[in-house]
Amino acid sequence: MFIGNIKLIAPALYLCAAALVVLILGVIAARKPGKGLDYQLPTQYLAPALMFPGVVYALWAVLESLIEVCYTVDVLIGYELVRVPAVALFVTRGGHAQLTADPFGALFTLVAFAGTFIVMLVSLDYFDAAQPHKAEYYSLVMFATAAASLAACASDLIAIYLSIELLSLASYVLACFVKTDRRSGEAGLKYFLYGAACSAVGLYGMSILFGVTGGHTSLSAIARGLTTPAAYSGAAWVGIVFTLVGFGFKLALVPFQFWAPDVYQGAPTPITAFLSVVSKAAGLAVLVRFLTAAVFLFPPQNFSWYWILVVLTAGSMFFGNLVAIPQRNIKRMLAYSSIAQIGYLMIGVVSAVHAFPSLERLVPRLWNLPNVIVRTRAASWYYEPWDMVGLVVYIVAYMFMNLGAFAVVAGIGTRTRSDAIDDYAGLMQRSPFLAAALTVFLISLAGVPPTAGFVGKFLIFGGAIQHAGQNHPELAVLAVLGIINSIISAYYYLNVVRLMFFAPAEDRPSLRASLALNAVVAICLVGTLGLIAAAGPVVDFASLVVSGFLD
Amino acid sequence: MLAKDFLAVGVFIIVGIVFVAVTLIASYLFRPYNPSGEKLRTYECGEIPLGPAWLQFRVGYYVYALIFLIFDVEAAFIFPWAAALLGFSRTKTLAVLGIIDMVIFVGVLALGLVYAWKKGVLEWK
Repeated sequence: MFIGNIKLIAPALYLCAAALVVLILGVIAARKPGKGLDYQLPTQYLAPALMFPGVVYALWAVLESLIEVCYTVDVLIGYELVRVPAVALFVTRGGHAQLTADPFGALFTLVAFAGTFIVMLVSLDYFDAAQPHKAEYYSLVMFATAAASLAACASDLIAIYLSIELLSLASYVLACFVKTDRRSGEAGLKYFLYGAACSAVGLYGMSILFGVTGGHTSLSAIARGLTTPAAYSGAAWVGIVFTLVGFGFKLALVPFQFWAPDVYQGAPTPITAFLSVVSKAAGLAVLVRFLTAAVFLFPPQNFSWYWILVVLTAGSMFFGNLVAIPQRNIKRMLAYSSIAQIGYLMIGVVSAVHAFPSLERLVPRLWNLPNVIVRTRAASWYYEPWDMVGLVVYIVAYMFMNLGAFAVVAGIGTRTRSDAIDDYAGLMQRSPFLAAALTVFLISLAGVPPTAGFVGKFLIFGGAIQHAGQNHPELAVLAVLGIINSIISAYYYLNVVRLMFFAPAEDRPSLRASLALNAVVAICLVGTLGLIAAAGPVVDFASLVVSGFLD
Repeated sequence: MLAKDFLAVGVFIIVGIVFVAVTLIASYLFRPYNPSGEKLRTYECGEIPLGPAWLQFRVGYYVYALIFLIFDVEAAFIFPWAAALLGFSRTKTLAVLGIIDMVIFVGVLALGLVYAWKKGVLEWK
């Protein structure tokens, strides 16, 4: 086995070590609350303080992988000389990497890390200093983030399953973290039961793929196995669809969305934010890698798993947006909204599949690799298709706007003890800053310019139309459906804005935001409003990241 | 290839069934049969059974069981590791790497024990 440049996944390793430090120091501190270690080094400050270098480190890893991805290395594995990309980690016999720390994975790592840092600041405001089990809370969040980072780089079924499962197990516990709240317990139990069932189905699908492709777990080996006639059986199709069930659950894609509303409503709000951004980013990265690396050629005649995804994409957008309209609870509304948002992101995934359309691309061209399947993206020498650029930009935009919205909801929820949309009436008078910020986040979620959400949607829908051409009218249809859904979603987003600005406040006291809350909201505001100002460089950078995408 | 792999599993299944069947039948044929009240009573580690078994156990037992399980699994990992390390020892890098891996693994588990200890679950109050 060849280990490779371990520095590229060092952010995840750093985070695991930091989580252990937080756990042990936090437990020692918790023995005497308010005194000694708990006074000098409170866990709720230690965790973000250790998280911040992780974010910087993850940013460095993106830049490093942009350089490394241009190189290959020759390694001796067993008695065989194999040429592999320099970003391949843990390469086994035959040149199959278990992790691929390409710029795409590194960027999703950065999104997960930055998102978690924001979630930690929200937690600082949401829980008071006397929160029980602080050590467990913060270390679980950090372990889950490390798992999300590994999932973004995983290019082997075992690595995918282990990282997704570590992320899920930590999430189940976090969802029911407020033990005194019945709804939180309900959320944790529902999430666990549904999650375990879907994870089992996904694992079964992986085992079928393992079997029909001749006993391979690596995505590149599965891609090759699926091109042999032996794989053109119903079993391989069942394997792919079952595996997609497992990923669909993490993404809360219709029809695997049934857990999302209850879990999002019941879980503590910072954890809801975590689930809606970090957990979904990991699931999305895994899905993109699985589709484009392993099954994009299968089966060339009828592409049936692709049509399932197209239908689910449209279904997610319509279901999420239509069911969000009658909601009375803002967390529940944002849960349905995030189901719709994943639909928009899925348009990017579905059109990204077309960037790898034919068998010739399997021929190692760019790298002249004898053993590894490396694809060159379609036509990337004269223009970069927008599909995955849109995906990358939209996930960054989604992180800022959705975390911002949940930060405001968490802040208002702790102060008014209510998440009902009706209680947002007259928020403008009670807290002008929070009301204005929530307005920006909501119109960004709706995709109104000049916000980050608009840039992301513009690129994703544009990418779909680019690929539509004459052969793929369904992509143009999806883009049009996406635009129709954006209009539907504006109704319920703007309804909250209407209540905040135009409904009477019934002279309730004004709300006082803490420093942490103001800081988080300000960070997210800068991201949401600043992305369009920097749209040119951001798109160029995203193109650079995407052009280094490997399987 | 696949059929040969499953042949071993098949042999294990058959041997397992035959072994249990032979032992039970042999003991049925050879044992004396003198039941008494003492002998027919539910066995509970030498204690006289009291009350129904479907009651709530103290949660401390579960924590103990979990900690035991962790170290049980650790042992299960260490044996094949030790066997494989012998093969690795021909290459110095692999041997060092193998030892570092196990040190990290045991270290993380030891931290888990420190956590349990500091959490106070090892004290029976």
